[in-house]
Amino acid sequence: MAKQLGFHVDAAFCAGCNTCQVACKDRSSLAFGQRFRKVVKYEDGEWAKVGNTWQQNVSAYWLSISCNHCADPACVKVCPTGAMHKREEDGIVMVDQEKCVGCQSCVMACPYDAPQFNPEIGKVGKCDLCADRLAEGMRPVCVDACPYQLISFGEIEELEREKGGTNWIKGLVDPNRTEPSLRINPPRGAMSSPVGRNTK
Amino acid sequence: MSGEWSLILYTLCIQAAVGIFVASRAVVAGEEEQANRMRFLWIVGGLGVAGVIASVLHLGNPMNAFRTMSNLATSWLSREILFTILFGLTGGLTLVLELKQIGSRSLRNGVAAVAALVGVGLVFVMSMIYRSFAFPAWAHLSTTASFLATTGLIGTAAVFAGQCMRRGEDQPKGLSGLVYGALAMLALQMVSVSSHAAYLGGAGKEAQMTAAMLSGEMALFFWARVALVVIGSAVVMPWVWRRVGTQNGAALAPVAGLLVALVTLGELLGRFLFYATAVKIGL
Repeated sequence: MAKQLGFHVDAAFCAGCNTCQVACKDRSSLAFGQRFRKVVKYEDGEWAKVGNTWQQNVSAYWLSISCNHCADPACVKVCPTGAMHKREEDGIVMVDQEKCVGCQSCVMACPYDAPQFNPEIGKVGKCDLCADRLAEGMRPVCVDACPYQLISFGEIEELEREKGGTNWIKGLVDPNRTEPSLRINPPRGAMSSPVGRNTK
Repeated sequence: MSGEWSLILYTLCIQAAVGIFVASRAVVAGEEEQANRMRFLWIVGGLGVAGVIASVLHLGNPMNAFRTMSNLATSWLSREILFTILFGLTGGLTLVLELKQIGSRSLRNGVAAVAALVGVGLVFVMSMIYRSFAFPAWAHLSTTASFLATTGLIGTAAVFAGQCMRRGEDQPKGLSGLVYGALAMLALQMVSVSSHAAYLGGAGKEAQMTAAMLSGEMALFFWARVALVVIGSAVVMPWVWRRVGTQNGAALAPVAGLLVALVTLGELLGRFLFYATAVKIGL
């Protein structure tokens, strides 16, 4: 593969404004319930007894997440028709809706809930990293929309060299499973709390 | 859960079809008469067709169904479609050979054995679709064991009942084998249920959420499933078997029918719980 495009998200400063989510939804004309990019809130912690006192170790953060265009995508492996595929030249995971049978295997397999089943057309859609905008030299719409400029995109190794980050914070699946092309500047508490619980 | 009913029906119908096919072919393997050898084959066919219709209802765009074997290299769903077609072909061939009385008994038994192997392979492949890391509750050997046990339990119960209900035959054949087979399948199902319960505790928080559901809001369904299958396979079936020698089989028809209802309802509840309690990983 020539290169692998991906996202870097500076979650340490994300305020959860949802602008990226709305911009993505608007650009893709998504119906109610469909999100190619979503802003999720993670919460965990509890009261713990320390000596004779009770202390809380509660933490929470926002994370903007979409398809991570994984190097080893679970959705591509399970797709029976070959509709879900990985583009050779830039590693973007795309769905060819002409081939999609609407079985939702990819929806079940993706640990990031990136593929979204559209019941109106009976097919799956997903983030394609705004491939049409990239072809015209523009940035993905979520990158442009973030008022804090916390989302970056580009060749994932280059992003990691420039901005650092991790692909495994609390709430996300072990990255060895699919090798997501995602790097996150972790928010405070996202890496350290011994107690995990999300808002599911 | 709403979208899963088609999958519940599909998996149960196909597993019932495979189970009845395997159990019935074992029972009639020594028969010569066409009427005896044809028994249960139309039921298997009907269940297979019902299962395929249910699976198509699950698809958002069935017009592309012809493409679904394009990824045999990595997709268990592609492999499932292939095995479904192969089971349909070999099972259909068995039906035609018996219907038209083509070939020797050994040849027809041989074809049926191949179809039975393909059917068991289909149930295995079906279970592998669900053993995805995205659903920790499913990513365990117990998924495969449970699917195979369901196949055996429904198959033995239905064929046992069918043999008992048969008119004009004082001593139905193959009952002892079916009873022992059902008890073996029950043991497999119980080992599967208990090993799954033990696994859930150490498989992460999503698996623990599944365990909490099974022991909390879904506990009634969980224990009802266990009770129905145990009563059906380990109480009613041996009870009927013991009385077949002293009573006319036809008189036991209502009890034999009850046996099938108990086991099928139990496995239906089990499959409902399988889908309803699965929790996906991730945010």
